[in-house]
Amino acid sequence: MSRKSNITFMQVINEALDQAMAKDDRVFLMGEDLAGGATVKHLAEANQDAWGGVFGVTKGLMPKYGRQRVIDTPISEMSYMGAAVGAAVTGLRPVPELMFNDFIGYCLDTILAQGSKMRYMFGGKASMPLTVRTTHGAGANAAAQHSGSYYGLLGAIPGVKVVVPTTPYDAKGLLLAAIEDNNIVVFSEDKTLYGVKGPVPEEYYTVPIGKAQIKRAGTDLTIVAIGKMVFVAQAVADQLAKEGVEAEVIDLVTVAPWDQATVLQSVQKTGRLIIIDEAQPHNNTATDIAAVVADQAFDYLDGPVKRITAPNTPVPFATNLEQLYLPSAQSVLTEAQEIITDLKPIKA
Amino acid sequence: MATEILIPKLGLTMTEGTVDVWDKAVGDQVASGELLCTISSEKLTYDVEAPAAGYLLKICVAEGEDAPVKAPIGFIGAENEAIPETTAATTEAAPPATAAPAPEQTIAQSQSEAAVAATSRILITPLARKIAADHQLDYAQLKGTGGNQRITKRDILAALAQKDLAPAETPAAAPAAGLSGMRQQIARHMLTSLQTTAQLTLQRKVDLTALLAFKADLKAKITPPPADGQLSLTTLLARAVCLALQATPEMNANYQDGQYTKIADVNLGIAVGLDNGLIVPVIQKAQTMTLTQLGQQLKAKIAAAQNGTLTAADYHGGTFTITNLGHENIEYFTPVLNTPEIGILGVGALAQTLKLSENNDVVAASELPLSFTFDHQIIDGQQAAQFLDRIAVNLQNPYQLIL
Repeated sequence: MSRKSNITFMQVINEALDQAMAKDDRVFLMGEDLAGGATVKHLAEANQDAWGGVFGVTKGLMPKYGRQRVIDTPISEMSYMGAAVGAAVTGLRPVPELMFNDFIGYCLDTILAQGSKMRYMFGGKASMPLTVRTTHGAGANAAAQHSGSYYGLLGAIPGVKVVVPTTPYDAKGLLLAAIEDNNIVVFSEDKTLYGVKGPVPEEYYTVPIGKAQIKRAGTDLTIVAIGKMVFVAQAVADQLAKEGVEAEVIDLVTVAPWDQATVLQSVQKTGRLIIIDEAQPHNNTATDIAAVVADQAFDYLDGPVKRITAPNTPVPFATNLEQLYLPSAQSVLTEAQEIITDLKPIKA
Repeated sequence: MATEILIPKLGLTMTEGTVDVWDKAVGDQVASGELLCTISSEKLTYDVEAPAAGYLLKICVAEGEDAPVKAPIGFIGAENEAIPETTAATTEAAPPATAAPAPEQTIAQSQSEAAVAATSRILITPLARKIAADHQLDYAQLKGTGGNQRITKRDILAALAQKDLAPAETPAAAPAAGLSGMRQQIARHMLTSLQTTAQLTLQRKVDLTALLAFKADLKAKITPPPADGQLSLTTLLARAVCLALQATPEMNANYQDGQYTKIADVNLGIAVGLDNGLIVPVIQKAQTMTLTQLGQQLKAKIAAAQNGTLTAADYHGGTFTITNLGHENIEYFTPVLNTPEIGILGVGALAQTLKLSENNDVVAASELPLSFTFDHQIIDGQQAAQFLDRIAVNLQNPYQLIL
């Protein structure tokens, strides 16, 4: 690793986009206020951007690649997402940004009814090298319409891959892998992780999509987590280790198609499974994992599969309620007590 | 209609509660919601409030005693109101089920159905079930340590480890395939008995010369001659056992799942051999019966067993069993406990013998060989010997039997 200091999740996204655009001039960005300041005279004269995205993730890319490749669009998700689908199927590699995944309703048709089906309906002759960057996640006190987690909903669409990176290292490698991929990949960034720092190589690299990662090896209990819930899982595992229970923590990384082999292999070893997801539980990723494990690893299960998720409500605005809404190490330990209890030594 | 006072379920895992203190006495007037008694489970204590206004008619579970969740511990109703007979009778003496698990017809219908449904299904994880199947382990009697008291891999592995340590009994490990329903029951029951108790058998002779003379004397003098088997050896023996059990309450008990319960009534089981197996009808409250009643009951139950007309209630709730192999000329044997009972008396063949009298004369005597098996977990050898001696003393002093 050539870089000395760790960099943030947000800087990493910027770096990945920069390297993808430098590597392949078919790659371009579209979205609302990706650069900003298009009509501000002194900025235009100096070829400068303004905000560089609502979170500043794309700051500095417009001056480097120009407004032809960093396109500020009108506030119309449907129009630019439709343009992106068209551009992708005709040979470019667009990376549109949907500011909050809660806005997916405005543009879902372009992905659901068009983008995801073209390769299939054109007999494999069309490809769809489209990477939709968006943000999800509660905990930022941003209220119900800016805090949801809908990666599971998008992952339910055949033909769409969905990636939820947890660490800066994975964020860079997965974003570059997504842009290289010839299918729609939704790259869902947790906005509350933007400030997280980690070691990230400076050079271009990819991390495979569809491969879960074992973050901690254990023999007694498998905990599968998505996104920032991986940190909750690690805290749970630390706590359990003090009581002599060795949990295996798996970062799912890719929500669709999720890595069945890694999860099943782990459950076959441990016999127990907790799934932690901050998305709602109904018809969702955690539920899908539970179903597949119950089906494929039935004879290995030594306890019921526990899904610890947010409740089936919108994200509350009040800070205290929002914290309650998110699974925590404590709530996981409490709710999963039923399958943890007989792992602990019997008290005399 | 009197209202039942039930033991509430205070936690997911609670199966029974202990009545700590009764704050009201039978006959007290109580208001709805008024404190009646305090009960406790493993973890917490709880105030039981009156479910209705009225008078405390009956207390079924005394202070310090346990009762299962949802069992009635008392009744509230109008002054001097009668209590439903079946319900009251059950709670007075409801020893745990024995051989054939039959539906409890006793406790109020809907609740007992729910309770049976909740307990009859064995909770076991798929993995634990698979390991048990691979090792042909019968997990029906295992206690689960998992959530919801589910049997998990750990419990199966512990049971297998124990099985490896246990003396060789593996050939009989899977008593099921190819056997009739009754045989399967017996197979499971016998195996459970030998696996879960510490059985020891004491054997001795009892001189019945005096008893036989007494019997002949009575028979000759009573008119019309007794026709209910009240002077048969079986009846006299049953009576002698009843008296001994009353004098030794620690023998008249059940031991199940680590729980030792003394039982007030002597519910005497009599093993009856059938063509296809063996069944143990139970004579309830045998201690209250005269020789005539005992003789009638024995005749009726043995006939019903042979005709296959016993009902579930007829072989339920035993506290002690008598089994007889004398008619097959067996002297001594080692009867197997009819769990959860902790004692069984085996009767051998009556033999004529010569022995020395107190005056060193050679006299003819009739001697009965007895084999008494007890659970050494609960009863010590000396206690057991003393209990057997009480039976012997009763038989050797036959007037005791009619007092």
